[in-house]
Amino acid sequence: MNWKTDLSEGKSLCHICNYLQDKENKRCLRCAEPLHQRRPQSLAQTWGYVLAATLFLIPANILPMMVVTALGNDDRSTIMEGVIYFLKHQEYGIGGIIFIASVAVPIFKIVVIYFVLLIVSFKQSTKSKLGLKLFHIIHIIGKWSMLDIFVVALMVSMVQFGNLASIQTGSAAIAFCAAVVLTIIATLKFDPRLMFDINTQEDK
Amino acid sequence: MKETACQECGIIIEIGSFSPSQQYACPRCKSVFYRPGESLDLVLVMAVTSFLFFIPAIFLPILSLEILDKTQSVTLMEAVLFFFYDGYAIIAIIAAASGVLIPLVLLGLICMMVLAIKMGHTATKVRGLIRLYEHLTHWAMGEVYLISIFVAMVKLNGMAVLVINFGLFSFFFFLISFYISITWFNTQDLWNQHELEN
Repeated sequence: MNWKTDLSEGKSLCHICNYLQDKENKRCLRCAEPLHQRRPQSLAQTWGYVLAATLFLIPANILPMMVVTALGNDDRSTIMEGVIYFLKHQEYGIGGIIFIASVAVPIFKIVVIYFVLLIVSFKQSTKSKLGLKLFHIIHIIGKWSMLDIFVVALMVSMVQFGNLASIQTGSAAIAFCAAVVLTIIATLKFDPRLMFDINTQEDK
Repeated sequence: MKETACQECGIIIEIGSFSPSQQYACPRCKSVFYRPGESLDLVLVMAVTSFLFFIPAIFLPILSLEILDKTQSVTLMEAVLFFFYDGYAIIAIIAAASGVLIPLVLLGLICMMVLAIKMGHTATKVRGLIRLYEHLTHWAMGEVYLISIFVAMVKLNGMAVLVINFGLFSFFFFLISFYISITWFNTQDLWNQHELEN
């Protein structure tokens, strides 16, 4: 089936107010947002952000996330050790939430972003619907990987009993935070229409 | 007759007669491109409720901790600002901004936009606010912050005796009503309202 697209009709859609207009406009006629047919340099920027995020995930998983000092003993724990702690104490629900939010989701997101980027690069038009479905999922679950950052931030500010008990953030917290934020930016920069543009070009 | 294009795959879609109470999905990629919002009155009521819950949430203590016989209570303001003493300012700013400040700004924007429309202005008058809202909305993580409070409580339970204070309840209701108001609110409705009247 032959679809009419905004590229073939010479139109562009405002990404803020969804107003369809002539592609010659520099700014949206209705809401004055800068107008582009496709997000400018979408591929290059997405590659950049997702590569940076991948690099940050490595220290985030190796270094300690949190340093708990109780009665003079320092207890450093990485993300995985935090999960194992909950599983040992039979808190399977919380352990599961933390595992999904801070281990599974970040890795899944990065893999999906590579997947959609490769779809565009290798012109795999048959996979574009699957790619879009996965892309929708990571758009929704994306913010949940901030969970562990918030937990650390809250615990540090709540527990300050001097020598008796105190909690400091470990260096992994910053790396993990950077990884999560960079992945969110990468998903915002990626333009899913690029996956379908190859599709429409081949139809002709 | 209304012509639009799919945000996700770029095809041109023609809608015979547009009704704002119906959900529309793209015929090719099946992604929803218009989801009806609730009426602006309801959104405004929810946003104001959320503001009202925020006032006690920021000033009253949210939690008290007891270790041996030392007690310490934290207010939300302290929890948000504490990081600045600790040296991890970046995490502090990101956590405070996405968990508390951006939700607040979004609520303020919703109130301003809805009030402007209610007073008879067109959406073009508030287009700067609409753009700001659409850019910030990706970074509001109130619901994640809410769950993280519960996770932190479970983690702390092993270390200390926890007493939940009234501030936590009002913060909980603040985030819930914030979440409801942004799901009910849809900036496209502001434009539609203007176009349907013409």
